Amino acid sequence: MVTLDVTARMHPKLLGMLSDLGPVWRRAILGVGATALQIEVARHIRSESSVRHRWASRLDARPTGHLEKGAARVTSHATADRATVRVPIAGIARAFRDLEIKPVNAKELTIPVSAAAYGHRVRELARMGWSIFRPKGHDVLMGRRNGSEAEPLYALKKRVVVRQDRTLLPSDEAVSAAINKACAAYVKYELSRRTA
Amino acid sequence: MNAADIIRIKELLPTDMGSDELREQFARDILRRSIVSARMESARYLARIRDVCAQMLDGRISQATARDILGGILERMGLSPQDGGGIANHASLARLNLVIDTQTQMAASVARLSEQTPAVLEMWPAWELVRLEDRDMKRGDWPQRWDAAARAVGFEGVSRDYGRMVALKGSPVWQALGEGAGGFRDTLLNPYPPFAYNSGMGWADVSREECESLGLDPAGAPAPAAQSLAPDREELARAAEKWGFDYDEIAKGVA
Repeated sequence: MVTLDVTARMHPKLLGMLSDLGPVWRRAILGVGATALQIEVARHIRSESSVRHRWASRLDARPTGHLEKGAARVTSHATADRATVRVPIAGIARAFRDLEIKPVNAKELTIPVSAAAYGHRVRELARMGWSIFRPKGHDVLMGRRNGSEAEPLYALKKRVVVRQDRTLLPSDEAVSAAINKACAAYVKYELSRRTA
Repeated sequence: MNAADIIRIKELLPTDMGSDELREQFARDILRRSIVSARMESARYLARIRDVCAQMLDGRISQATARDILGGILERMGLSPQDGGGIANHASLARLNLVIDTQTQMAASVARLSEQTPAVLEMWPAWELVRLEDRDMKRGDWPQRWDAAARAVGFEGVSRDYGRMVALKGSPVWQALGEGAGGFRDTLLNPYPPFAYNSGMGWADVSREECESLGLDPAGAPAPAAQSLAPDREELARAAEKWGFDYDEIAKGVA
């Protein structure tokens, strides 16, 4: 998960205005900025999710919808002092840095290499009736079900480094544009109501 | 409050009832703020659902891990995905995904509702019902559901643009949609997504300018009702009204 700070990309003039405003206006403006960012982040991830099925496609597996579901669960929160957007997707932090993944409750990571294994943990496959075994001397888990030929299901790795991919989240420029455009439009709208 | 915290304050409602019975026997507020799964009597399992969904909404685990954790508990309860039974089988892939998707979608919706300040409503006064998540089996009847819900509320706050499903955020159409106006029995009774079991439809914000072009007038429109998941006095009041609460009568005691 990552939490994005709305004020980090706010125009200095807006930040200056916020410092001169009371809590009601601050929360109003920050809430607009947070909602604008939430909309932009969700839109961007949804768009990216439609073209990021490379591993699933290679295995001829059904995509898990990991990004798509995460996009639908992006939320924002604003107070008078802070506005944030939460992106509740495991691994999304690789938008900002390389991620080194190590096994937590196992000796090795299991990387799916077949359509049957894609999107499933080893134990889940076992519960679904797969008989899973590790051939001696090989870094792979094989499996068979219903008397079928054994097939490789998972490659075993001690660690995996997933390279940073900034395009998983909108660019700094897109983030800034979304926040500042919405906040400026809101301030302009409220000012027009004052003089109307 | 964020979506993960919203899940964490939910109560557990173990039950042997099916989904139809649940709809009939429990007030929708109770279902809304509970972790409940039709014909699941294990409070321990429901607590684990709450826990893994909160972890998912914190981005700490994936859905595959969440399913694996829940599947392990069900296995110890003697339930297996190999038992058949389709979605009625708690241990089936489809049922596990349904439970996780529903709880996390609901929590995210409540979190979004809690951020609908007057300023946000000024900028984005309406929601459009759109497909946010793909499904193998898509319901093809959302336009009919929408039309039935809109008619049920006299098109209050609903766009007459028939090509799109747009309504003001405070429109009663969202509750009507969630209650299955038109006779749809697969709904979750909530005025927010998911509006039906296993639905991939959700909300997209609609700007003020777009509302105007769609003929929607947000001026003076009510705000969407805040969705609290904590027990409130309204629940007490509804129960009192339903059962004809009378202090003098009750205080006398039973003869």
